[in-house]
Amino acid sequence: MTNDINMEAEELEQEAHRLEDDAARLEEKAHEEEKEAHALEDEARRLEREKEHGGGGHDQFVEITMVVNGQPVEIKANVAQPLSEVRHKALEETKNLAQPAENWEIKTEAGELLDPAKKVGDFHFGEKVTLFLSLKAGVAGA
Amino acid sequence: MPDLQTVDPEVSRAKFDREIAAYQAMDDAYRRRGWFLLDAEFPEACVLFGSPKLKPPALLGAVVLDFTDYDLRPPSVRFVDPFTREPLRKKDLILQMPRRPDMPGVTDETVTEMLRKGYPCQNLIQANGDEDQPFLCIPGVREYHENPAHTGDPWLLHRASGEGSLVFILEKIWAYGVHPVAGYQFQIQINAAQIGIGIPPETVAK
Repeated sequence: MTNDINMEAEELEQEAHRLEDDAARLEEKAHEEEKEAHALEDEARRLEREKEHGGGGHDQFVEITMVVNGQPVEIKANVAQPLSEVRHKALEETKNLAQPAENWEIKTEAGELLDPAKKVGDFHFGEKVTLFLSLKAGVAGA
Repeated sequence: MPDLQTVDPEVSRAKFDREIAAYQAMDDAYRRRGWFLLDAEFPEACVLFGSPKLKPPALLGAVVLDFTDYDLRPPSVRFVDPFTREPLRKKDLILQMPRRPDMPGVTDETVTEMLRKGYPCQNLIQANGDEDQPFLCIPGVREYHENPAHTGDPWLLHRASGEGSLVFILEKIWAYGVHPVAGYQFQIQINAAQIGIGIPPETVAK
């Protein structure tokens, strides 16, 4: 009698382990699906942002040729980045670090002054653009 | 009299060549702005400024930059006749480089109106008199740093700043002197020929 009870207990215990394993697998699967759902949500948000900026999927990044005092440097900028970050990177890459970044104006080829606080995507540059960084006149020195 | 070259000429020449090469790499963009590099042979480079905005397009001026002793000294800038390369006198210079006074909180319209009414405005092109050669009065230019009024602001404090490069100087001339030119102003005076009137006999009052 006791043996029967022990065997039954053992079987129940094994069954409980199996159920626990199943539960763990289901939980893992749920996590994976949740992760996938998040990824899909992110993708949906990205597509929505692209639609807002009028892009066709290529303008998540903009290839900016930043001409620093005549010296061109290529920078791949995210549309969500402020233009000031691109300026900072361009100054670092061309080693123009003697002046604070605010002393450098960002202009288009036509000479239009751009607001560095705005995001790259706000300017609707398209896939590629050439911008010019020029030092303000008379800001350096004594 | 040409300036004395005290730096090893090969050093100045290499730096001059680097400036010219950087310019030529972006030549298409500069041309669309109306800049034309006419010639570049150490120590001088001559650049012509046109305005593609005007219809018909206009040649507004030319400068010769002299890189003698560069970059122990900054480049010298001379305004010249684009056709003859002769230095211009102040009275013959078309280019003006007015700089808007810094007035925080004042709207663009108000500043424009103040300037229209003769509010004094700094001109980045200076000259001792109308018969004298004008010079570009900004840091990074030899004539500025060697002017007795600016002995307290030596070039060596600016040398690493980016001022005094070919493109820096050209960009300032363009931004203050060429780009703001918006259109032509014509003054037309017509002198009408006098009309001789004879009095035919049939018009005599009776």
